Amino acid sequence: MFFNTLKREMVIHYLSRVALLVLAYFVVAPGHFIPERFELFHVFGLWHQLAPLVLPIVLILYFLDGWLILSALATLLGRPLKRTDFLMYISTTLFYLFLYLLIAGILYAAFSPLITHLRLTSNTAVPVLVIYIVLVLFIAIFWKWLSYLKWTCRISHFQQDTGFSLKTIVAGWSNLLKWKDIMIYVLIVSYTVGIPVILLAIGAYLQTAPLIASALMAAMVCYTIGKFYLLYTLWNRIAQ
Amino acid sequence: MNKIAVGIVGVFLAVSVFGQNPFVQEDARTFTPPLSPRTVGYRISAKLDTDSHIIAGKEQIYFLNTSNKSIQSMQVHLYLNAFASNQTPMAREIAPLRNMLKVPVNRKTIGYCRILHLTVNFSSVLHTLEVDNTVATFALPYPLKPGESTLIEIEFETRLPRLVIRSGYAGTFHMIAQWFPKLGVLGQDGNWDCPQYGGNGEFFSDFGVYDVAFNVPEGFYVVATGVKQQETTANHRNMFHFYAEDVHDFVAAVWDQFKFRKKTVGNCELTVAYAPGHEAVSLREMDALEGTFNWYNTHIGSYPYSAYTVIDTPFCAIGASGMEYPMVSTGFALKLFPKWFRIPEETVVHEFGHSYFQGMLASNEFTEAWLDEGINTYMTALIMEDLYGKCNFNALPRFCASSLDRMMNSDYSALRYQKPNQPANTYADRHAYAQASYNKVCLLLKTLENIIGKEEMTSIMKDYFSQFRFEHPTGTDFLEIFNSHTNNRFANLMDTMINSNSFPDAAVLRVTRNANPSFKGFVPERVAYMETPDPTNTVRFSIVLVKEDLPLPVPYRLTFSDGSEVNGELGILDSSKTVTVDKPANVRLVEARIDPERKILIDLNRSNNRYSTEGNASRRMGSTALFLAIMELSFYVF
Repeated sequence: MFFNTLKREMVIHYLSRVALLVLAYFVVAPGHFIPERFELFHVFGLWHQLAPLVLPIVLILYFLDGWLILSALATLLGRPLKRTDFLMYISTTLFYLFLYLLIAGILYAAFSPLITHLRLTSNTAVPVLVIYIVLVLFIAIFWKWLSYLKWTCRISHFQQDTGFSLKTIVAGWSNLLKWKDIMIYVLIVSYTVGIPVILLAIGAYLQTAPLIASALMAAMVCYTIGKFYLLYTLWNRIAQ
Repeated sequence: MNKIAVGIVGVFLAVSVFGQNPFVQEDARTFTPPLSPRTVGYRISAKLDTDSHIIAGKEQIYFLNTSNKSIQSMQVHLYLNAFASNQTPMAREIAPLRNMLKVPVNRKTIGYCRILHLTVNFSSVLHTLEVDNTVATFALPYPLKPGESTLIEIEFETRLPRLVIRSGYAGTFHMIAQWFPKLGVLGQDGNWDCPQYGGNGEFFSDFGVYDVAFNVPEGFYVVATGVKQQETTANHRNMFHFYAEDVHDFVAAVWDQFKFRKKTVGNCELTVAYAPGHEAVSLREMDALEGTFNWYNTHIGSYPYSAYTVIDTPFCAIGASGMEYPMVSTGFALKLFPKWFRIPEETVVHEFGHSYFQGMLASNEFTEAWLDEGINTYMTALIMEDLYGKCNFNALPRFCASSLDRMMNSDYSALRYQKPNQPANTYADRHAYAQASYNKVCLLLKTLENIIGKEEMTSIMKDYFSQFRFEHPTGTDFLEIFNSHTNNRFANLMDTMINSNSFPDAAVLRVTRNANPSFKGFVPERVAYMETPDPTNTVRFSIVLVKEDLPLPVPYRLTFSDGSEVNGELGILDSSKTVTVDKPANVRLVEARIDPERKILIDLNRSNNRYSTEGNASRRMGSTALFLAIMELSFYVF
């Protein structure tokens, strides 16, 4: 059972998320939460104030998350972590981030003339909204597909265990069109993100503290189990 | 000048001597006696080419010198020159909007207004014409004495810009506003009030008579100021003829896809001219229009014109939305707006209100924008509450919000440096202009309504309307009426709020809790007072309240954990007050709150009005969730 194999990483991952929650609860602009000024999306308006706080935390989480994932993969292989594992992790992150941005840019550039045309000519906002939804959908599909490739590369790197080279960052491309694996990946990610989002939306709508708190805890559990279950599943799929 | 011309001028002057605007159509006369001085008159024939978006026009202008001085020159607005390049003041102001709408500046999207021929009483004065961006000045062939009138004839060419703000074309939709050479306003001192056209502040014109013929391609329909006199078709062109008395502007919207919803209320025909696809939202706009029309007729004064049209602009022309003109306004509606989101209704209520505040009470929107925008924003909030109740802006359960709620959440820091009573082009930006002219005055009037009552406020507005309708009232006129109704009780407040860079704010500055000293006697070595807190003794709460720029009594309420409350107020002249309360040691201060009934809405920073030892857990949790969502989103990107 994957839980037994990866329990140490999962516990650390979960605890780090709970710590983040507690931190967020106490530091997110406490002075702003008085009834006269509260709006659901007010926190977005505070983004420029929160960014200096959020960005370092995101970076810390990125490194913590990376370490846990690498640790989990090394555990599955039954060997300790190596320095090249970190090199592989950072290089795949940067390479696939570059690909995300490139593809998103190309898609936006491709859709832009149509979007501009519709904005300048349509009688209602519906066609404009539809074309934006299509664009976001395309970007999301490519984003997830690239994420799937990134994960297969990382897992393949461990399974082949031949050390780091530039080929490592495309090591998983032999799985390019394994539709079953891709669908498994998408399903796990959808549940991992979808369930907390639905719970949080209901909690935010009802504005009841216990429900939101439960949703937040459920979100943490989902993130942790989802992420490690994904690793374990892909590990087994690619090993086949 | 030939004999015919001399004859026409003679007739023209003769008519003027008898005080009759020569452009009044006897067979279509609407108001007898006239409602306004009618010191100007415009007879315009215009031909629109919907492909090049060019209007070829001819106009005759009647002008009566009502000043105390002879004048040697005249000034006209050429508003659309503001869109002639990306270097005009207007272009710089609207650059963010232009970028948002994705409208570039090029030869297909620019606009202009050019005078091709110009005569005054049949003498050409084109050679004297000097054009400075959106204002043109020309010399008169002879001085025009007080009480004399003149006839100006202009042939002009106007190109409509791609619609970014207020006027222009979008697809086949043409919003034709500020499109013809239009006289400035001559002051009593003989100086012209004819400022450059910018994004902040709007218009100021004299009342008159408009007789306008529009020639458009077949299939296109014209919605315009005034009453449609005639509609004919010939040579694949449609000719529309409109006539309006006692208005100070003329606009038209030309489109080949208009759909109409009409309703007659009293003697007035209400119309919503809407875009295909906007059927449902146009129903909501008609309901709002009817409700507002009835409200104003009941509470303020009768709407004298026989027609009013809301132009529900298509999505591509959204830059034209939310504008007021005589007998016409533009709505702001998207097909996707759900019923609980009442921005289409609010826009109709607001823009119809301008028929009174600026339409009939024709104040100067450039120098005193607060006088129409501020008062009308307050009236909008008042009427929205009457028509739609407490959740009049957002009726979604749990997210109930009124028009005023939005204003109370705003950031007013710009008002430390800007005031309502300043020319529109002197504001730092559009945000500061809106905060000072619209929101601050609205919140001020709502605060006063909470003190003197809704009926008294309505009575003040009614009095203001009945005394100054069809005139050019100033801020001083309004304040005089307000102060006479309230026996000068709020004269200082009004002056502080409107004429100075005031930032009214009341706050709970500090809360301290000290154990009361308990006398234990003198220490023999050094004569001293020995203080020992006694747990069975009382504690002293000191609550420091402060107030600035707010010459009003401001109530406060202290709530303790034993259920007791202390109520009081900061006096008109108090800038600070320390309230001390003794309580048993086991009692906590649960909340110290300024303005607990939320009546002093002009307090522009409400975030410091409350000290509480009890947070709102659900809201904080919600924000934490949102924070987390943002973080996870950032995280998943990697």
